[in-house]
This record gives sequence, structure tokens and C-alpha cells, in this order.
Amino acid sequence: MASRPLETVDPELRDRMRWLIGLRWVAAFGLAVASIVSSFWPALGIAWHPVLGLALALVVANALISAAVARFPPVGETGLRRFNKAQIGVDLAALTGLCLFSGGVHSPFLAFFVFHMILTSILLSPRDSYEGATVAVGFIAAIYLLTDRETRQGPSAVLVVAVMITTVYTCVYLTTSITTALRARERERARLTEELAARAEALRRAYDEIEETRKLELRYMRKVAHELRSPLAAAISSLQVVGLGMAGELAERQAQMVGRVETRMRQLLKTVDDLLLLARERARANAVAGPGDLVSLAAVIGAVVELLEARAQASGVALATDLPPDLPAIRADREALTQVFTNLIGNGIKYTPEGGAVRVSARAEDGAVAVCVADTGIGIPAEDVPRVFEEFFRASNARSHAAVGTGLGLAIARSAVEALGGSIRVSSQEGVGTQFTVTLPIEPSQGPLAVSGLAPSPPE
Amino acid sequence: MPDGHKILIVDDDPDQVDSTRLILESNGYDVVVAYDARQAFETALAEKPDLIVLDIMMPDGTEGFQLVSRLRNELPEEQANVPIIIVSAIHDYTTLRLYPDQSDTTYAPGEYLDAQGFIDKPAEPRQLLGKVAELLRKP
Repeated sequence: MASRPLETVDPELRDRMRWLIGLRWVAAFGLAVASIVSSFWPALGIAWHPVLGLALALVVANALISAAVARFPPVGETGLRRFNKAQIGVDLAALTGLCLFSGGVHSPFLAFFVFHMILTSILLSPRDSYEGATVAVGFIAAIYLLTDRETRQGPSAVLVVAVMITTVYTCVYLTTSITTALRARERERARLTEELAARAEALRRAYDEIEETRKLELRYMRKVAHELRSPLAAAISSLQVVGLGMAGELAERQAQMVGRVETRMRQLLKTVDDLLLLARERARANAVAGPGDLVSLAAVIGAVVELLEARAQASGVALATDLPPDLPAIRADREALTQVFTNLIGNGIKYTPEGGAVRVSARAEDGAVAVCVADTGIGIPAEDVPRVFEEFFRASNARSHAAVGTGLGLAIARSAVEALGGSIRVSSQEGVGTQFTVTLPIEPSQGPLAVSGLAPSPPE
Repeated sequence: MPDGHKILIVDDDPDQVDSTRLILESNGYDVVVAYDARQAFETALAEKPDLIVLDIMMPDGTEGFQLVSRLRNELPEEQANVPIIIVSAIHDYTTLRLYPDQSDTTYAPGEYLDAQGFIDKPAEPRQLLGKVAELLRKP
């Protein structure tokens, strides 16, 4: 085992080392008391002079041990083990002395060998404990041999030694089996704690990687956006200049043709824009949901309505909002919300004939806010309703009502809403109107560590 | 009709430069052009334009951003406040903003740029001319 500094060694082992020193002071005190009592009461059979000497010797030994611990703290697990072994050796020797001066093989203090074996088994490894038991057995044998011949005569002395030897080994066996199990459990716990920390670290790294990927994706999309839009923009600008006669007067037929080209180019630009938006919302949906800002839905909808007001007026459509003043703020991405409501309200205006109305209302629900965009427009044929969120899908009557349209607006809106952890529903009656309901959670359930693969997918 | 104000167009796309130039010239402005940031700074220094129309996304990406701060910090004092209109193919319209989030430091937030106007490409001639006239009217 690699030797570690004392601080990281099993703190229990270190505490026990000090505990042993404390116990020894108690033992020395007990010995002194026993010797003094015996001096007045010789019938106890304790030779009080040598026992007092033993008590003094133990005091000196313990003082030396404490000094050694303070001066040269044992380093690492091996050092600590060796140190504890030495302490136990000292104790066993002292106990042997006590037994010899208090009746030899018949000394009642012989039972303390069992106590020492329990201590040893708690402190040391099973192997070391058996070693200690063998040393103890050696001391017990020495006690037997050093007891005077008359006292150890007869079978009882041999029986005492035999019982002691059996007890010592049995005790070590029982105690070490318990402590081994406890230590294994402790080690398992430490291992699990370490594993848990490693997993948390791995999760954090995965999160960082996703963040990094998301950044690269955004950068890439910006590049793509630039590469796709720049030539189209340049072409449209040139056509405009020609169309407006800034590069010389055009014949009527020429102006007409240039105008047609410009219209088609603008359609293409719109498709490119919508595809880019869709890709962005998809990327956002796959990205890790951050905690997000608290956004006032009323403010977002208000800004969108203000922006679209001119368009509504030009089409002769009334645009109204009905937002309760106590509408809660929600945790979401402001830009994504703006996108959703621009698309929905813009659609409402686009597909509502002159004289109609688009109404935006909202209400708080259980932990969520529901926003409803309702129009009195051309509606959606029943068979087309399930398909309106599909990319490039345009309802049959939508195509005849408005020539221009990419069929991507609602797909973008749905992607954005789902990325925000919400849902979008449509109900419509052809010729009467359409109603979109967006339900957004006030606090998205995804925590900052939620990884896209683990997050529950929003209900379809 | 405007009175021969001088406008510097900075864009790495020559087609774009030509159409912007035609729009401005046919409305009576004097036009000077530059196709990269270095040339733009030198031209601004030498020609003292009354206004700059700048494409922010030039090949090196950050070039346009750096040019704005260079114009503001290194031009002589009487020129340092020249109005700048930023045109970009990726600014507002696609909402692929110049600054998709705070943690992305590659691009400075567009709104923090010391510019007086932002126009998305393709710039509508009316919108561009309106903005130019508005900025030149100011003292």
C-alpha cells in the first residue's frame, strides 16, 4: 500500500492510536491503585512492590509514546500500523508482568489478554491480529513457565493455558471478521463517492462539449447565411437599380421583365431566410436549454403587434390584443418568442381578407401561459389541418389567396415553441377563421444540466 | 436635391458596391469606394467623407467591427464622428444576429457598435436614401 500522509489515513485509525494512549494512562492508574490496595490487603495475592514498579514503568513508557507521537508522527498507513503494533507489544509485556506478580497462571488479570486481542483486532489487519494473538500466546506460555512449580502443578493450570489460547484465537477470529466487513463497507462507500464525483465531472464535460458544438453550429450557420444571402442581396440590389431606371431608362416591357425577375429573386431570398430560421430553431431545440431570462410575454407580443400594425392597416385588417395585466413573465428566449408570434400574427394578417380581424389573447394556466392568435380569415380545409406544421406545406386555399409563401412559417413556429418546452395547437374552419394556441411553461422543466438526449421530448 | 455630400461605400462585393453607388450617385451624392478595411481607412482619411456606408461582414469576419472602432479612434478629431450606416446580409432580417449570445465573443454585439444606422441587405433604395438624408441633415 502506498504510504500516504497521516491526514489522509483512515481518521479512525489515527484516533484509535490516541485512544490507546489514553487507555494506558487509565491502566497505569489502575495498577497503582491495585498495588496500594494490596499493600494494605496482602490476601489479594498481588505483590505490591513490583506492581507499583510496573505502574511507574507504564507511566514512563506511555509518556515516551506520547512524546514520540507528538515529535515524529507516524507517516502513512504502514507507519501507523507499525506504531500501533509496537504499542500493543508494550501493553502485552506489561500485562504479562502484572500476571506474573499476581498469581502467575492463575492470575485473574489473564482475562485482560482477551481484551487486548479485541483492541488488536480492531486496530490491525486480520493478519497482524493473528500475529498479535501468537505473540500473546507466547506471553501466556511464558507466564505458565515462569509461574513457580507448586502453583502450576496439576491439570487446572494447563487447562487455563489451553482455554486462554483458544479464547485468544477465537476472539481475534470473531472481531476481525466483523471489522473486515465494516472496513469493506467503508471502502465501498468511499469508492461510490469517488465514482459519483467522476460521473458528475463527465456530465459537466459533456455539457461543455455540447455548448462548444452549439457555438460552432451557430458560427457555421452565420457563415452559411452570409454566403447564401450576399449574392442574392447583390443581385436584387442590381435589379432594383435597373428597375428604378437609375442605370438608364427602360422600355415598359423591359421594366416588366426586370420586375418579374426581382419578384422571383425575392421569393428565393424569403425561402433561404425561412430555411435558415428553421435550421436555427432546430439547432436551438437540440441545444442544452439554459436557464433563460424572465421575459414578459405582453412586452414581446406588444412589440410584434406594433411592428405588424402597418401591414395590418395596409391589408385593411383590424389587429387587437387582449392581454391580462397580471400575465406572468416566463423563462424563455426573447428572440424565439418574437419569431413565433411574428409568424403567427403575420400569417393571421396575410390570410384574412379586408375587413376581417386578428385578435391576440392570453391567459395564465396552471404553471403555463396560453396565448391565442385568432383570425377571421379564409381558414384551413379540414383535410389540410393536420399538415399545416409540415415544412413547405401550404393549404390549397392559402396558395390561391396569397401567391407568395414558403410554407415554412408554421414549421419554424412549432420548432421554436417546442424548443421552449411548450406546445402549439391549431383549430380552424374553412371560411370562418383559424386559431392557434401556444402554451408555454412559466419555468421550463429542463435544468441547466439537462442534456438533449436525456430530456423528455415534448408531446406531439 | 442633395448638394454633393461625399459618401464612402465600403464593401468587398463589387456588384453590391456598384448598385449602391448608382443609387447614391443618381441622387446627387459624390461617391468614393473601398473594397477592404485598410483601403477604407486610408480613403476615409484622404477623402474626408460626410458619411460611410459599411458592410460589416468582410472576408476576415471581424474586419468590419475593427474598422468601426479604428475610424472612431484614429481619425482626426473633426472626422471621428462621421456617421456610419452598417449594412449586412445577416443582421436583423434573418434574426441571425451578429451576436447570437453573450458567451460568443467572436462578434461584438451589433447594437453596441458606434454606428448610426443598421440596414439589412438587400437595402431598399428608398430606405437607404432616407437614412442617408436623415443623417446628413443633422448638424
